[in-house]
Amino acid sequence: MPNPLTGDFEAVLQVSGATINRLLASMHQNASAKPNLPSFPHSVRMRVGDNRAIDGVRGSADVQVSVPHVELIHGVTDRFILEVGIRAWYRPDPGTSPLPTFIHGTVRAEYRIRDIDPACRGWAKRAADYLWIRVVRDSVRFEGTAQEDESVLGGGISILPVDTAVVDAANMAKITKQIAGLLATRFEATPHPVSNRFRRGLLRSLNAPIGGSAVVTPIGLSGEPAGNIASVNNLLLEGADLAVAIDVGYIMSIVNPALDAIKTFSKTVKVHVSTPWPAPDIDTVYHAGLHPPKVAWQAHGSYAVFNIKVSGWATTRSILANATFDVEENIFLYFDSGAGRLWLSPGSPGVKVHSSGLGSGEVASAVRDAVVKAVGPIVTAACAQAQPTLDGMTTRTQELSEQLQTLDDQATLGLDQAQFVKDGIVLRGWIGLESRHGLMVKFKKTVQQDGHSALESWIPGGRIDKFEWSWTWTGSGKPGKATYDDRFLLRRPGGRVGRWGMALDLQMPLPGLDGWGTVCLKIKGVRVDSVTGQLVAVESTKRCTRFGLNISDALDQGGRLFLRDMPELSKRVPFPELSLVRAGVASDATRMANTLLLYVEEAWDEETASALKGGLEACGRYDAGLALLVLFREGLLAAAGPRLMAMVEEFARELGIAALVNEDVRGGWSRSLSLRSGTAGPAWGLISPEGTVTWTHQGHISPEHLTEALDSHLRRSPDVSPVEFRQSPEIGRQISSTALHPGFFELVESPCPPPPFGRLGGSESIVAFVQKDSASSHAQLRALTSKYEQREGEPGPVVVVVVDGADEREAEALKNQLGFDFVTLPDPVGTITDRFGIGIWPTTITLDRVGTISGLETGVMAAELDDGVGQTEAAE
Amino acid sequence: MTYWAFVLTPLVVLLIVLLFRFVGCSDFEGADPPPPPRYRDYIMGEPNNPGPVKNTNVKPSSANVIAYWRLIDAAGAVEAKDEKGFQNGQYKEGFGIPPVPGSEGAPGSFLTGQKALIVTDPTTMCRFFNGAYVLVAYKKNLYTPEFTLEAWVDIRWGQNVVDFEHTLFSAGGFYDMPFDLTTTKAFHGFRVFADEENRWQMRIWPSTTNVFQSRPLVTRDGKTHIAVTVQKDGAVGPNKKVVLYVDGKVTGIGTVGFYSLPEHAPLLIGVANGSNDPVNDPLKPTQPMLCLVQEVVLHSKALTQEEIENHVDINKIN
Repeated sequence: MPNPLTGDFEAVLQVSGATINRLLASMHQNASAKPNLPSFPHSVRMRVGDNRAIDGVRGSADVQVSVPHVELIHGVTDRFILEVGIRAWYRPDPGTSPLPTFIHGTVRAEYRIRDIDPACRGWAKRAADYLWIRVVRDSVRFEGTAQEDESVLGGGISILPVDTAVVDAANMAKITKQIAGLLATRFEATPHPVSNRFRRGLLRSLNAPIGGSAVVTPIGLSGEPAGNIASVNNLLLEGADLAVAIDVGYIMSIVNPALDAIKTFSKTVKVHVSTPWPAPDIDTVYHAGLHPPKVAWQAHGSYAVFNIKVSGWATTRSILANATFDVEENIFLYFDSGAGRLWLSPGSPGVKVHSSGLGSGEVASAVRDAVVKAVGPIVTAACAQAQPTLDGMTTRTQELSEQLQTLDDQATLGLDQAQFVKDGIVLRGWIGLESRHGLMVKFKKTVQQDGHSALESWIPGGRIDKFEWSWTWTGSGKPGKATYDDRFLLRRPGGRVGRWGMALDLQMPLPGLDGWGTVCLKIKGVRVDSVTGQLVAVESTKRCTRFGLNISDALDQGGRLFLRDMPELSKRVPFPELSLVRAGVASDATRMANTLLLYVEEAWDEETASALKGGLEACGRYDAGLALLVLFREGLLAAAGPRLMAMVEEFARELGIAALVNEDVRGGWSRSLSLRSGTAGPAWGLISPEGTVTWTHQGHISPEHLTEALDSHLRRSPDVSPVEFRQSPEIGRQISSTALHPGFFELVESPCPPPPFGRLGGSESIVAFVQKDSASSHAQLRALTSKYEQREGEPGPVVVVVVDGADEREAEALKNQLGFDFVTLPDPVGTITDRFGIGIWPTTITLDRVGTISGLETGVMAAELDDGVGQTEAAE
Repeated sequence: MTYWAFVLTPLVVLLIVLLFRFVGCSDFEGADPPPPPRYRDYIMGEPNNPGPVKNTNVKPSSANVIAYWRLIDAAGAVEAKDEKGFQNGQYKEGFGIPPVPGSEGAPGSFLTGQKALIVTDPTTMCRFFNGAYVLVAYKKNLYTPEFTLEAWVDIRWGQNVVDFEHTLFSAGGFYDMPFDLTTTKAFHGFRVFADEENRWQMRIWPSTTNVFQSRPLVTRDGKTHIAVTVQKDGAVGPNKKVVLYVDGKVTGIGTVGFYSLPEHAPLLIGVANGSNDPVNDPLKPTQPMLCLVQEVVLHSKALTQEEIENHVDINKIN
């Protein structure tokens, strides 16, 4: 009769379904980051139908793939269910059969282990050594949604009424067929070489409503496992990751070596019996022997006992009485969960001697003493002999962890429970895996420049359920929001492209595509807990990308040129307290265009607008990209900012040119271009992609003159496209404690160590990057003072203030002016500031106690947005 | 026994998990987009994918390609191969073009082995048209009432060289049609050229005025795509709408009342014909283009802006 624990086998191993899924989650997490480990991709770009189109479907697809999930089927030996979430953006090749653009849902398919036909080419000698799993085509199911791209339908197109249920069903069938085709062909598993131990029929799935699921495989402890795997029916895990069950019969069989010594027990016992005088004392020899022992397995849950009963005899040829005796010895088997070891511990033998006749008392006593003296060492030696076998697990742990680490380089494993039952032992253990990585929020512009794609955003070991987009404009545009669950795209319907490369007549323009601004994304979803294997809800922080004017860095030789950070308008920050953003912080030097700078001293007048319109329209340079930068005298926008900006931007939109309206902060622009201020008239300048000033003009200009200047001085370049700002240091980056040391890279010996922040400080640190004459920087310093100023006896973070462009005296003056007591570092030529990649002032960085950036804030602290679009990022 | 358990545990897990490795193997194409189609394949409607073009709904097709001269034939080649097989061109060199008012002089040679203008064929060398030219002999159906003519060029004459015209394409002249006794001499054909101010322009005969009011300056410092389309303007009547594209952008739109096809005249690439009569008089090359020319395609329809944008996009990939 099969053992309830191990069936026909000496032992079985069970691994929980949750553990398998945790390992799959590790593989999903491995993607790209750990190329040496097997991985499961989180996103792919692929072609569909190139070699053999199914139903005429051919095209390109970008696909996000969730963590896979295996569902074990109870009682089967050759199949399992695989589930994976997908989110696809499909683009058909022109003229091919359509498929919905946005496909989102769960693919569920049954896979079966198949034999390889030795007749297959090249497999004659190898077929038996491989396992091959193949999808069961008919089992493939797709449940989800399939939507057409409404953005390409455009406005004004009437769609005939259709039965949406019929269309949906047809689409689902079509998608399912495509997926089934792909799984059966393109994504077919390659045969996997396996040892005999894992051949078909030696793996069985168990799945019960109570008890969970597991894969079970037999273990042959004394040879190859023999028996029927179907005889193993019971789940033994009880919440553990793995369980090993050993048949009591096998356990008893290993007791035999210990009993061998007992079986051969033979002893002579000298007995001296004193007799009353004048009878002589009797000295004789008893010959002792044992009958075959009886061993019983007594399970007590947390431990077990090998109960050994032996009877024997002691006889003599003298007149003294013979004796018989019974020995009962208990060997305790228990599990030390702390050490992860099984221990054998012998008890004291119990000996009962039966004797009657002459000298029976002495005989019994002597025999008892002799038996006790003989049996004790035998049992102790047997336990000692078995112990190394038990200890094998502890000495092998490291080696075995390394095997698991071929899947997850942080994997560890151990046994921490044992249950002793009448049918044997169940050892239970755990498999520890790497904890989950942080959520990755990444997006970039589509190749077609018609949207932002978050294809490469992912939740390691998890699944994204929602994309929450938000955006603000640098200027007068309205902020917006959009939330999607079926697509990773933030896409807007296309429009006509103007001669300067900007889209016209758009219903939903987006920053980064149609102008400058900030796009933010937050993702929400679930991930497989690395410990429990359960899906737990997670969400990222909001990650924002600024898209800005791609103006050359070279222009600001001799000092930085600033613009006001207009997205801050939405925070209702007083205009002078808007952050300062450095011009030329765009990262893509290859896509820089020309910039026509129009400096407006007083007001936007008709004559200027007319010259601009006429000059741009007649320009013959179609090979040169051009942006328009309209700068008002500093202070002018404080009063009429939004209205004036909206007016100029609307004017530029009609011309199809990208325009940025701002102020000549600190007069830096007019000074750099040698434009005269105070003349009441406009001034003009052309800045080349390389950052050189190729033309300037003071005062009003005729359209013809402007055209001539553009034709002559524009440099060939791509059209203007908003580019991603060179980002400040990213969350998670480790900052060296020497990073605030001004001369660190200059090999200048300093009499002082670097300021104690980050790892040196041993506590949280705040580093604020400010400008000395900036109202926004001053406001931020006041806010920091209010929040972090040290109070007597109260520990707080180290706050370091880096004053860009200030010398020692100016930094000290700022400190006195605002009355703060932070560590203040002058940064006269921006060495420290540039080292951190700061482009916006104020920028405030929070470092954790080991010097990792855990928070990043631009602008004035605690300036909350009404629309929920903020510029604060924090580590997850 | 515990030893066996520990050996087997990772093996079982490994086995089960490794069964899923297939999804992470080379079968998946990874996060990189598929390689772009070759420019030539795209033009000929043979791409295995549309590539990263802006207008993905445009299906490339060679159905409307009359002829496609890549002009990448090896040095010494006599014929300019037509990928469509309609009519090969002939490389003409070995003569000089004297400078005359309105035309620069040139030695009348090709400089082969020039850097390719097509990014998908970086090792393919093209030619500098240094006064030499390609002659495509007339063949029935070479010219159609609606057409597109496009090419990639790299201008090599100086920015300050003005008052000369440089002709990229010319066909026709002032002549009477052979075998047609009902006609008298008249202007037939067209010419695409850079005018004396170095702006792209076109003339479509019999009108003797230039087509475009808005004339884009020729592009320097690298390759540029130039295309002209001629199509019926309106449902009835002979009017033609002519559109000039530079690097996929509409830079000029003009209308002509009539387009007289240059029947019996050759198509010249790289020069104009100084002789009035292209049929009976010896060809007299003039107004040399002095640039690199590659991928000349003649279509029998006016391509849409989307189609032309895609032709530019396909060659933007680096």
